Amino acid sequence: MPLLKIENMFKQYNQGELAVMALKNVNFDVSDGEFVSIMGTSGSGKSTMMNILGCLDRPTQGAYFLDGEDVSEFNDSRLADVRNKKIGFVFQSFNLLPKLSALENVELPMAYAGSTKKHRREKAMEALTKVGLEKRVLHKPNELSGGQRQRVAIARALVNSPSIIMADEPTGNLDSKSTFEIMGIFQKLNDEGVTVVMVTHEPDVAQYTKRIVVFKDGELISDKPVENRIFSGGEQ
Amino acid sequence: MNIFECITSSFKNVFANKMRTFLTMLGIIIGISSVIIIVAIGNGSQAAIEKEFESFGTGSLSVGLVSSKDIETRDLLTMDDYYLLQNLEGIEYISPTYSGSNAYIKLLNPQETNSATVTGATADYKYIENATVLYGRYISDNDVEMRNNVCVIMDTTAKKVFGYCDDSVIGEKIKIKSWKGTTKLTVVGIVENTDASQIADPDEYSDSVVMPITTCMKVFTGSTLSGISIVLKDAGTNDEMSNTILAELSEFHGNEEKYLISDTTDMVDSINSILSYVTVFIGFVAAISLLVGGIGVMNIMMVTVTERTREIGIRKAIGAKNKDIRIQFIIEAIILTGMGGLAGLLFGWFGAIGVGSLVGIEPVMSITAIVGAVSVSMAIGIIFGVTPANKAAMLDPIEALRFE
Repeated sequence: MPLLKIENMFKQYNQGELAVMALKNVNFDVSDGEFVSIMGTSGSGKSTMMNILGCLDRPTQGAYFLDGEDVSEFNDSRLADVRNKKIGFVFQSFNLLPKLSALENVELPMAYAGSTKKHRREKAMEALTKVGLEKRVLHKPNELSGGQRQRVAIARALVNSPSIIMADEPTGNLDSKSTFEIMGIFQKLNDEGVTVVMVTHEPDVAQYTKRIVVFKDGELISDKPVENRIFSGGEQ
Repeated sequence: MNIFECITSSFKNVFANKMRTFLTMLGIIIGISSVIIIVAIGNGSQAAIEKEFESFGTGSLSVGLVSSKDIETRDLLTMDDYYLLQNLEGIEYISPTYSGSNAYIKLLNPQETNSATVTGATADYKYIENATVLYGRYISDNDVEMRNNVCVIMDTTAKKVFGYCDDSVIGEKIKIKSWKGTTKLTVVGIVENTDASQIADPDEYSDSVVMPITTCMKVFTGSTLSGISIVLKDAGTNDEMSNTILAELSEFHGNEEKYLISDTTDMVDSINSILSYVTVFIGFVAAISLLVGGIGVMNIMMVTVTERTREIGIRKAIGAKNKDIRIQFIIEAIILTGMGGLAGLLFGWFGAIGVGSLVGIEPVMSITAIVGAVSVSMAIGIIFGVTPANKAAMLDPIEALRFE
């Protein structure tokens, strides 16, 4: 059984009088351990797809099975629970809370999951160590470089051991060196068994992943494995 | 997220913007402190009035003439009326009173005088006035009978006339000046001045001198009483005793409705009820200022929610439920108003002491007022925090994350 499965999905936005069909009859699935890029130009529907996959939005029509459950019918509170426990988000603009330290930012999803302070600290340290930031845990986001901030965000996405990590243009605000590092971290995590779905419009970045899904005008037009994959670490 | 963590993180957020927090709290601080000042001063004056009347004792009556033009000579109260009422059942203490008019007392400096309230009375007057004798004795029945030139003065008066107040004042003479000339009186006793307002500034008030009523009438050449003061054996019999006394007097004088009995319990009650109306009214005005403060809190919370839209989006994306966000903002509002309430309590207390010393009233603070002020301010936080908190909770996470 696939980890996530999209069936006959439609998403319609009503902008005043105008109805925009952002997704048209999309079908695809992602299995455990995959590393998928979702590509497309702006307006292709890739961000809409990402929002639905991340349980931030619901489809107008169609089903979304995550871990065997149809989450498209869930209410706000259950969706919040799914986001908390099964999904880890990484955003283009990092989206860390500026007043909290790196450690506190990473602890936050666990706080909402209701785990104890001690357990939280241990897991957060573990996650920050995994992304190589164990020495900067007490720094605030504005004391960290872009690449380091994104690593904090990845640690935050990892901390609740989610089924899947959703990354929305994770390298969009980074220089090429940091891009290389961040993609290396994703590859390493993927090698350890973490499923990653990433939205990007940069073909170079997509080359780090294992499979590329392309959207155009709300439709899925191509779904191919990556040839000539780029490896950033020593794990190839 | 558990409630304790929610509170700690809310404190951080509230104090991230100190100036704004302070200005927002100011509305609540002003509201609560004015309520506290009003309540404390109101309670204080109530207590002061009760204490004042306590010195007359409860169950005390005073008999006098009605103020009316058609009073005839036969209606006037005389010592005969005193002898008549003295025999009534149910009376504990009774004293006729005579007030000497336009009297002055000579002070330490022979050139100086101060106006004096000269009262002629009998030995029972000590109990009617609840007087505490500090040195010497009170006037006695013998003094009254013998028309002795003796008097009882207050400790504050002794200091003004002799410059000191101790045993050695007993036996000294004071001089009372009136239109009849100067009279020398031997001081036989000194009583404690219990009038709080007079103790604070005795120079402002006239000096009170009590002498035997017979002496007083002789000095001021009068034969009619100012009134008759009575303390009943049972305070509960006020109404019946009043009726009996009025009936006796009317029968004795052969007249109707010429006498009036005032009852101190009634006076305390009516003054207190006027006072509580005033307190409620001013309290209502203060409550309006609290309402304005609450609206200020709501306004600033609305701004805060808008400013932190992105933060709300992030929190929702990583798993915060609507209710987590709602609770967080309500707690922040409660912190704002609750701390404003505590600060208001403090300022109010100091304010009450300040205002109290200006008007000569000792403020009285009750636990009810303290608990009430803090809970009202926290309730304001909840009431005015709910709308902004709901706005935050209902934000769409996608829109919120896009917010710049």
